[in-house]
Amino acid sequence: MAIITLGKLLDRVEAFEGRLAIFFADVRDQSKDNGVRLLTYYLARHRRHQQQAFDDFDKQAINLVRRVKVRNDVPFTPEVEAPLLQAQPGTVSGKALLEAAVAYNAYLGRYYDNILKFPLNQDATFLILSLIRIEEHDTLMLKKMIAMHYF
Amino acid sequence: MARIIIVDDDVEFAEDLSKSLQQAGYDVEVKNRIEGLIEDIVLNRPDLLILDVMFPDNPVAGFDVARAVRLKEEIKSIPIILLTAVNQEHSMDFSARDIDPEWLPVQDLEEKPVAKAKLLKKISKLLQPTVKK
Repeated sequence: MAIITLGKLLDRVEAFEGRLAIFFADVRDQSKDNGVRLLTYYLARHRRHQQQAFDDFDKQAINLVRRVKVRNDVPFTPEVEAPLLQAQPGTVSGKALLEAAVAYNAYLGRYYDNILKFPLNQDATFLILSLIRIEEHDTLMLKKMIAMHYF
Repeated sequence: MARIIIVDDDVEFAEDLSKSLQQAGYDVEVKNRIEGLIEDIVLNRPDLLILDVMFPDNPVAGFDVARAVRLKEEIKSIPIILLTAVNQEHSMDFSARDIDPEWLPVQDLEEKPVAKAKLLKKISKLLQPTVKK
C-alpha cells in the first residue's frame, strides 16, 4: 500500500488546472467566436477552486491539512475521463467547452469522493467536502449556461 | 486635475457618469467605441480608465482592452476600473475576486448600476498615490 499525503493528491489537481488555464488562454487568443472567448474568462477561474476551499484555513492549518496521510494513492487521470485538452483551441465550440467542463467537474467530484473513502481527520474531511461543494456549484452554473444556450 | 477616460457604448450612462465625475472635479473624456482606443490612450495618457466590458459584437472587449493596456509599456500602469453588466446578461458571477495579472489585470470590478458615491471613493483612492486633484 502506497501512503501519500493529501497535499500531493491536491497538487496533481493544481498541476492539471495550470495546464487547463494555458489551454483556455489559447482558446481566448485563437478563437474567432467572442462568445467562446467570454466563456474562457469564466472557465479560467476554475484554477482558483482549491484556493477558495483553503480560504477557511489559516496558513498553519493549511500546512497541517496538506501533511495528512492518505492510506492509498488515488489515481488522477482527468485527460482520459474528461478530455478537454484535446480540443482545437481555435475552433472549439462553446457547447463543447461547457460539456467538457461539466465532465471534468464530475470527474473531480469522483476523485474527491475516492479520497474521502480513506480515514481523514476533521479538517481534511472539511476541506475535501468544501472542494466537492465548490465543484457542484460550478456545475450548476455551467449547466445553467448550457440550458440558456448562451454560447 | 486628474484625467479620466470613460469607455462605454451606453451613451446615456457614460454621459451621466461623466457629469458626476466632472462635478467631483475630474477632467473626463467619454469614448463609446473600442476601435482605436489603445492608440487614443497612448496619446492622451489618462490617469484612470473606467471600462465597460460588453460592446456590440464583442462581449469581452473590456477584458481585452484591460489586457492590451497592461502589455503596452507607456500605459501599463494606468489604473482601470471595470464597470459592467456582464453578470446580468450571462450569470457568470464576475467580481473583484477574479482580478489577476493574466486574465483580469484591473484594479477594480464593479457591477452596474454602481452607487456614484462608492465609485467616487474608489476613484479617489486609486488616484491618491500619484495624482492630486
